[in-house]
Amino acid sequence: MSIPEENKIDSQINDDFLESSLDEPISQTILRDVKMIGRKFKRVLIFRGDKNLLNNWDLWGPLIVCLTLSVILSSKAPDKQTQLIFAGVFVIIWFGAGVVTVNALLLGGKVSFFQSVCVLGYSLFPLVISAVFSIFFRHIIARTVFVLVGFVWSITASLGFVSPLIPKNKKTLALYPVFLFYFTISWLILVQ
Amino acid sequence: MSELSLENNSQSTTSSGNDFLDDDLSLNKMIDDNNQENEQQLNNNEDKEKNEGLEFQNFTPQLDLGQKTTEIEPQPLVEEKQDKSPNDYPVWSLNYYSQYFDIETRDVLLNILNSINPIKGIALEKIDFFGPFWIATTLIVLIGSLGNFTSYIKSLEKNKDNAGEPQFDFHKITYASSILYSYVFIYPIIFWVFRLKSFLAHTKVKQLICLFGYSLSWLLPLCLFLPFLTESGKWVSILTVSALTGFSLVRTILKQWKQAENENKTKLTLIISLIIFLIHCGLGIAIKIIFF
Repeated sequence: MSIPEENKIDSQINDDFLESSLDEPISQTILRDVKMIGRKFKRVLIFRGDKNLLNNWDLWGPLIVCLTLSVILSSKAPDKQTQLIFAGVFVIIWFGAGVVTVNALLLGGKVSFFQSVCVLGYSLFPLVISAVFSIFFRHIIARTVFVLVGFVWSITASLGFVSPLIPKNKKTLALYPVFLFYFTISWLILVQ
Repeated sequence: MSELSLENNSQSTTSSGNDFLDDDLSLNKMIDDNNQENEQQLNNNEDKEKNEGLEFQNFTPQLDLGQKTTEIEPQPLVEEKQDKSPNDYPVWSLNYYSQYFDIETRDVLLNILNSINPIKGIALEKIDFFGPFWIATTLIVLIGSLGNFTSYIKSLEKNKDNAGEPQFDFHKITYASSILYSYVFIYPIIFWVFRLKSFLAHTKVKQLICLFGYSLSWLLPLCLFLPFLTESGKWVSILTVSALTGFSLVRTILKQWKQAENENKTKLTLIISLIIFLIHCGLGIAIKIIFF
């Protein structure tokens, strides 16, 4: 059911997306969302630009990250454990992000649940890159270096978001689980 | 009475707020005096009506209410925030559980340091769930990773020419998580449920969970060294640490119990402390056998 071109309202020229978004072609809607996700990934990699970009959270990014990681890690696994590792990585990423967020909430931090899950998921992107690299370079030292770089990058990306929202005397308590979460995933990547 | 409470309020707030409160105190006092006068007048009116035998409908209760509402109207300018305590929230909301996480970094570190003290028993600073949960989780991650590392080293020793890639066993993580989480959370609950009525009657579940959780804390640094020791070194270190922490655990629980009264002290003491100690050491031994 495509919308004929003639019926497209010229309000594309306006900034009033709300009125025109029902009439634009679907490809445009999807592309806009995809560009948004791409911008968020770029923001996680390069810490310049709009700081509040990650505030309008979406869970597409974490889903893409999660699926990529699970597929990569399970494809390299010993045969009997492929399914287990796929499921395991999936569970670790989603429940891990959830638990870290709940922990920050319980310690009195003022974060919104899904926003925090979103940031933790997006910040995994450097680790995904290092996972992709380590498919091609099998030498142990090179992989260690890649994973280490990815680990440090991910932690920096997420800390910038999480740490201002925690009361001062509990900062280590709230940040340690983040560290543990990324450590687990880095180690899973390293060992493949 | 209301004057007294207002005075208490003024004492508890900071000095900067005192000026406003003083004004309000006098304001409220005026209103209270007014109210008292009004009530007295009303009472006099009531008496008059009764004496005259007129059966007018008694509107005075409504008027009383009216007087009371004007008492509430002028709010103190520096209002103390009425925060809901965590217990006010329902059990299924997240805020209810924040009471178990009311802890600072310093408290957690002190708890961990104090958890190996065979002489005096474990002296916890504050009861919380943060420590037990994250100690257990860290232990799972460490055991999972170092266990796999150990099996890699073992495979290297066996086939010295086969410098193969580490055979990664994800099951280690799953087993580790089930064992440790049940030890920290489910075992104390079972222990608490089956406690004898006279023994540990006053212990709460959360204290037990906290205790058992923190008793695992010294396995953490131990695990970091385990892959690099020889076989006998591993056994010695695991048994030592398990024995020490198990003993401190038993001491703590016995100290709790001494506050209760019981007749068959000696026999009961022995049995229960033995059970706790054995299960704790059993955990250490299981970790050694399965993972390292």
